[in-house]
Amino acid sequence: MAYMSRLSAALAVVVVASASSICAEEIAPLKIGLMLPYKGVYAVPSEGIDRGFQVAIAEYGGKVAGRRIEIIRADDELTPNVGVQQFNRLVQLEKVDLVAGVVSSSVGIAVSGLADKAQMPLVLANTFADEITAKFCSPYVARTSFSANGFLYNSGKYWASHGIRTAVIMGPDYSAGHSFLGAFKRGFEDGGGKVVQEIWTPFQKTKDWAAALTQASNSGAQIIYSFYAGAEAVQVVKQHADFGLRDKLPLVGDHWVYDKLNWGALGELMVGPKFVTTYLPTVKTEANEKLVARYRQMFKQDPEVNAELGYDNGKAIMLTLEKLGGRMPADKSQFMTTMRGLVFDAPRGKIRFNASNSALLEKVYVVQFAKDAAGEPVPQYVDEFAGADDLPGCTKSF
Amino acid sequence: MSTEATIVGAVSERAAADPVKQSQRVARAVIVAPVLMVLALPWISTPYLTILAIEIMIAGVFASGINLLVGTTGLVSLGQAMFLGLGGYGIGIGASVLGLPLWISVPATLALIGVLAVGIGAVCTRTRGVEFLLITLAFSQLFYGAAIKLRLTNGSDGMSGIPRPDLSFLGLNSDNPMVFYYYVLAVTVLAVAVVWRVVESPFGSVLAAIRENERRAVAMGYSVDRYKIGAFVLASIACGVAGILQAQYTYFINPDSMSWQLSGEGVLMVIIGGATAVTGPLIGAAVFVLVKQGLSVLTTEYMMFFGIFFMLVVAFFRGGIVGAVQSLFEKKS
Repeated sequence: MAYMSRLSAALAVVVVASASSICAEEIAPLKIGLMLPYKGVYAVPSEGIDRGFQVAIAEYGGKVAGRRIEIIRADDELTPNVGVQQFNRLVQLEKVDLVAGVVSSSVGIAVSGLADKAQMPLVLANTFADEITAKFCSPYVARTSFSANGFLYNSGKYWASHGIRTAVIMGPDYSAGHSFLGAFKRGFEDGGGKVVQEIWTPFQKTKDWAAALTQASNSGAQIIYSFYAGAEAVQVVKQHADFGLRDKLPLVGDHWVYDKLNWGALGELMVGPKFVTTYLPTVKTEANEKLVARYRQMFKQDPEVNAELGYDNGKAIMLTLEKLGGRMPADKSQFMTTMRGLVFDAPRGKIRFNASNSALLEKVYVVQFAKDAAGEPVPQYVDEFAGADDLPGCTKSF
Repeated sequence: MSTEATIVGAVSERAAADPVKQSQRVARAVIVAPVLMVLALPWISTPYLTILAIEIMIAGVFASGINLLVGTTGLVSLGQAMFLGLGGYGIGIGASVLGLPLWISVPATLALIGVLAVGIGAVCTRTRGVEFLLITLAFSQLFYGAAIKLRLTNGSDGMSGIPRPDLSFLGLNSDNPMVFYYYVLAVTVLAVAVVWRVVESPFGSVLAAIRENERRAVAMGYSVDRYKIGAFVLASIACGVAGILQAQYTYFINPDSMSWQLSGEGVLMVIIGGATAVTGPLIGAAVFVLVKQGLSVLTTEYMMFFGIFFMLVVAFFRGGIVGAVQSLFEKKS
């Protein structure tokens, strides 16, 4: 009898212990490492991405299938070596379930190699360089934004068919700069235009564009086509205006050259030039209105292109986790297969993924800033065209 | 058998009675304990600490190489990262472009670095002081610029998929952090031992003589230039070894590995640790990596606090941390 009661007591302990371990598993939050260059040249866009990401998580009440989502932030300092260290910290020390974010393509290339070896899902937010989901592709790496070719190939064709015959391309001398402007050049020249000069400025190391602008103004081209972002974009746009080139040789670019987040620094210089963008905050779709409402509520301002990219990043992760019932599968490549199968309406348009886990761009807008009644800049719709496909190059099968 | 035991017992008793012997035993314990800890580390610590230890060892090899110039010979170089980068690029090109196995590409890379260092060293060591610092900086920027432009190595994208050693004949996979730890440990011990032998050798004594008083070394009939080039070459090869390990650790190499900031960090490690032969650079590397990691977990503005930390070390620890500990013991005794 005493034996039986002892046995039942022991059984009770076992049952309680296993029940509590189940509870503990239910309660243990799902950890997402969010790696962005929070300081330095890309500090301002990173803040936007971070906020958009938060909005996506908040949309689900910070939970998926009853499991709390915890964001652990890391700063990669735009440097591959630091990115590698931070990636290791997130994976080994913080024990995250997946890593999201990453802006710089160089950092993206470095950490996707690690993610591939460690079989750790890496969901890239920006990292537009074509080769990330081509030459350096991995079954453990996805990108929720778009490739440089997807964005700018048709942009090149667009300008070539709108009266521009000659252009100078000017951009930062690193992978993203080459990818973006390379895509523009291919599209522009396929459309009948001619790139008369290419100017590459050292990335993160220049504050003076005088030499580059002088070269450009001597080239005799009709426009400068540029890719710059963050602090560098502010300096380029300002110095271009200081050189008095705004009418003679307009600086055409994308939504990072004329980033709404730089409004404070650029002011009136933003009003006027036409540029291409992937996101129009005034678009009347359900997905966009949801984002705008929540973003206003959380941050007392309107979302812009970087916030939208951060939102897409978070949203794709949440949708995937929802499909998986809030659990990371033991074989983490299943997480990626599930994500690749997603088709969803994002504020920028419909998002679907290609065979190498790269999200595609449904459309690109041509816009122009105008001031609204309150003196705030609002992008005005000018035109739109479809995004192009990614460049091939992924030789792995997954 | 029993007599032997008594003899051993007597010896150990005598040793216990003899204060000199006892201090030797303490010294031995001081050495043996960390050695055991280093050997057992992957088993007794977390995977993250193992990875930090790998980073420390790689930084330690790099700092040891720099110290051969800075500490031993008295030549402050701000360009040693070029050899770090060349090490990584060497095996990267070997694997991706030429398809060579590591047992060929590693010796070939180190040999090339050695030859290159003879040339660069011959130019640089004609100068001293600030001029030496600047000319090494200029050379490293030259290679940095070339690495950014070179399409063969993907320019600023860098090369990924750098191979780690194939240890399958031992039934081991070096992708496993624990296995890689022992590989890095073995290479580190070998590299540091070589540096230590060099410093302790007659050759090293001449280097120290050059540091203390170059004219006197010349007057004694030493061909000072050759010794300086020799030191430069050995230091560069050590940095190249660190570069190979670094590239294998991250599976990746890009031009950032040749940046002057990285050269500067190496010199910082030597200053923090102290310019002694073996312990200084290793302790400097450990403190550098740990403080930087520790601070970066606490705050994103860690560089500011790291700067303050560095100033405190320079202000209060003359001769770095090792120097401070040594002077503490000297005061006691």
